[in-house]
Amino acid sequence: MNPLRGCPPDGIRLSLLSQPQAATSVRFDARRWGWPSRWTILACALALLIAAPVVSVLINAFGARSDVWQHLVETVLGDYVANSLLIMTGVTIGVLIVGVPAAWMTTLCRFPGQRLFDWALLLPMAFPAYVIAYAYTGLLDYAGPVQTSLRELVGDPQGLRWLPEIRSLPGAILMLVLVLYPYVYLLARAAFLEQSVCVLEVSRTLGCSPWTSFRRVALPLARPAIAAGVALALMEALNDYGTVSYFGINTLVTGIFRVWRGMGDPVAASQIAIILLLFVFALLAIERWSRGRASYAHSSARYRPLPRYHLRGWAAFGAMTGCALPVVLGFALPAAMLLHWALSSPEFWQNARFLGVLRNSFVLAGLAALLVVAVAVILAYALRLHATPATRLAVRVASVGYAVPGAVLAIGVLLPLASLDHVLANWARTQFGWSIGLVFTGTLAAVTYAYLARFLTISFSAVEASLGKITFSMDLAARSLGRSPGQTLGLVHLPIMRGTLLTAAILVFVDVLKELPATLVLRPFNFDTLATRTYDLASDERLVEAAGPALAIGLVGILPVYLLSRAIRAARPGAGEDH
Amino acid sequence: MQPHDALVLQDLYHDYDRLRAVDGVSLSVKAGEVVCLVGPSGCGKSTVLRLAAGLETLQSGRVAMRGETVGDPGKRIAVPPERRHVGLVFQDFALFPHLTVGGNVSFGLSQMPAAARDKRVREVLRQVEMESYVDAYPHALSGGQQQRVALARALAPEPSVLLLDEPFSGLDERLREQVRDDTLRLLRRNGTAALLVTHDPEEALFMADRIYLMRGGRIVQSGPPQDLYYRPVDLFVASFFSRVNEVGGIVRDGHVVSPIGRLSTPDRQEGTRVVVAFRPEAASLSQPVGADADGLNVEVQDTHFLGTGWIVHVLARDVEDRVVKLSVRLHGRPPKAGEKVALKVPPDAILMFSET
Repeated sequence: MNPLRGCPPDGIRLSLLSQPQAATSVRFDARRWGWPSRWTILACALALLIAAPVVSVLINAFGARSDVWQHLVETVLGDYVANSLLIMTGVTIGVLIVGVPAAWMTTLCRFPGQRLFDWALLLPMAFPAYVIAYAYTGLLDYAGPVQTSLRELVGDPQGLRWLPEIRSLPGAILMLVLVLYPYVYLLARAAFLEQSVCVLEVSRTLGCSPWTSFRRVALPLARPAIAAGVALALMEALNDYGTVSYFGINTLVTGIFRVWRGMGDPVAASQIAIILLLFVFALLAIERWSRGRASYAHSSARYRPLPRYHLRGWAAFGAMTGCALPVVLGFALPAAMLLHWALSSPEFWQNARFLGVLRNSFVLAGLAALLVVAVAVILAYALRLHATPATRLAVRVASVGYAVPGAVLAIGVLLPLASLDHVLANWARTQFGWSIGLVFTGTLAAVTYAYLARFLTISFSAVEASLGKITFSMDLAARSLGRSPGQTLGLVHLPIMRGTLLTAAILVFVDVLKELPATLVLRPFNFDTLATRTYDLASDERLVEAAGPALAIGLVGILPVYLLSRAIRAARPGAGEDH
Repeated sequence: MQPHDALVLQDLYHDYDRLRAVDGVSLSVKAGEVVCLVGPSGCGKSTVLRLAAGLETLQSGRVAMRGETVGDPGKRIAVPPERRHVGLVFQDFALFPHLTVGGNVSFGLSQMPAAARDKRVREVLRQVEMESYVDAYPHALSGGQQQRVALARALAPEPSVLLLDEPFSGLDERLREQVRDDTLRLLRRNGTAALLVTHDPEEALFMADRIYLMRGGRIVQSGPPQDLYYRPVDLFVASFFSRVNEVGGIVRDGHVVSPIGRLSTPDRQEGTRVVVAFRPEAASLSQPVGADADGLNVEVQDTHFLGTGWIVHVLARDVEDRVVKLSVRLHGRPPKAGEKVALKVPPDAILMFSET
């Protein structure tokens, strides 16, 4: 008998897709006198630690003057900003065009393959953008299969100059759209499913055709959710380093890297990071605001199975094509390309180096997942125990990390650790005459710290949602039966939440595997992960060799896609069979 | 206050932000006594229970259990809930879904050696007739069974006092009566002191040795169930336990004059208005009477059959000559609609309060 039946681990909703919850708490033992509880202190300390990187970027940016900055403003900064803005605009248009119709067709229409597309449309999430960028480059370049066969067809070796270059700004936008549209798809899908059938039916009785009713009722109701999805996609687009640097496009993120690593000016790099953060916080504000509005869009508490429009003929064909295209372009085609390369270099699979990289990645991602979930549990539980203003603030502060680009976190982690190392080394030398070298920088601790800051929110919202499902009476029952808060957590909450905890850990695990910019900067010397190895090999134009680790990332990336598809299948009112 | 009362609450005050939820509540539960704290929703009764359990931090007042102070902000005493030795039963039962019935019941027995613990678990489960479910998981149990397991879990560590927060509200009505009865018998047999919070007046009357009735954070009246029912201190208490008919009265010549008769009243000023009321089952209907005789001539508006009797709605005139609708509960055959009849209430069943 499974005791957890009936408690679906629905933290699986990709953390980011869940509503930031109003803080409620058990409200007991909130000491009115004396010291705040240990849990509150712990939560606040952790939040400070997590916020530290962003704070250190701010301090760096405003604390010192840099001569490079003036130079940047006069030369390339405009380009950085313009390119970043162009990418954002392009990605916005792209994810809307792909994500919204796909969501509408899979939720409200019935056509051959619709059930398959329900989850298959999530598959492109498995790959980070830079991986499909490598695949498409190989696929479309002069020696690639597309141009080769076209040349054979046309018979003119010079005749294909008119083909658009994939390594360009539009190319980068396309890559980003192909892997990021699932954010919009997921949130729009959820919004369509939550809409009361009654509202749609009323609009029909008032004279709307199915299409008008979509345009005038369903779409406006889903608009906040769609905006939130776009905001999430744009945060990821701003975070991207692998694609744009490979395609040679200067954005704010590549700018940070160039100024910091190339020109060795961390202050100017921090100042670019500030601009990037402004963009990010604007998106964050849009996302929060839309989510707030989304809760008003609940039109009814009653749900009935959704009626579905049966599509036939050309309509059905159009729907199938519309849904298949993103899956093929965002997943199947690049996956096939990578698989082809990987299989064509079989010696790579036995390569000890590859296995070492695999082990490195798994150890690092596993460590990070454990740490992140543990911190998430502590924060969520502290909030449940004592929803003091301090705890609430701590949680809010700690949960903006997901929006902060990896490159910014990398500076924010490295700069203070480097100065700390410097101080420590000096102290050890003067006091004891020891040469201790670098204690923090370039260790697993530094890179795990950056992961904690970036991926905490993912597991926190999953844990918080799951904790919220456990009735407070459970806490009270355990406490009245003689258990302390800590024991209650261990004996009651953790066992009940174990499904969610596992899910949260898997989500973090996979995100760590895919993460590039922060890993690139903060990893220990000579420590390669799947992501950095893929990046290094691709940067050296050794795409065939890069296929192995890239494919490995994609394979692991399918895990959360599977979890998500299972969750959206289980946890949904009104997602009925066709009628 | 007696030293060995299972639970004593003294002058409890509690504010939520600026809202006063508990406003000077004192109550006690003697050993082996079942006490009900009853009141409309939002009256603060649940907060009192939570203060007693230590789930809410006491702001002012004193909580003592078996003569020992467990909460007193003045003396900075705040024993956490896990060391108060109280049992708690909730409306939603709050069984741990990941533990078996046996696991739930033994949860509070961690101090016991394993053998004694198993024995105790079996013993308590036998008392609630759930012994054969020891390995079942909560989700496989019916509501009534879950309630019994919750009760067993709370009773297993032999708490000084059992606190029950609307423990039967989660059950459907037919089941509720049976479970109430079983629970009461179990409490009596174990001699467990219990404080039960409920919004249901019938439940309070059924279960309680003594009732405390709360309103707006204060205790309005306390005492044995019959006291509150037959000798309510005001109209709120009277109408809390069943519907009452209000007819009004006015003091003339040292008597209260009301449509249902002249009542003697000491120490009330001439001309004072008073509330005169009676319960539907206290009245009887008979042939119309003359103007001087006892009884109030009324007209039958309609009648409703209830199975155990009839509800008869009649139209009458109150002391200010306004038409009021009264209801009367009869066991025998009722008069027909439109008939004129006399309504009589025995003097000892007439309730009289000062106007507030």
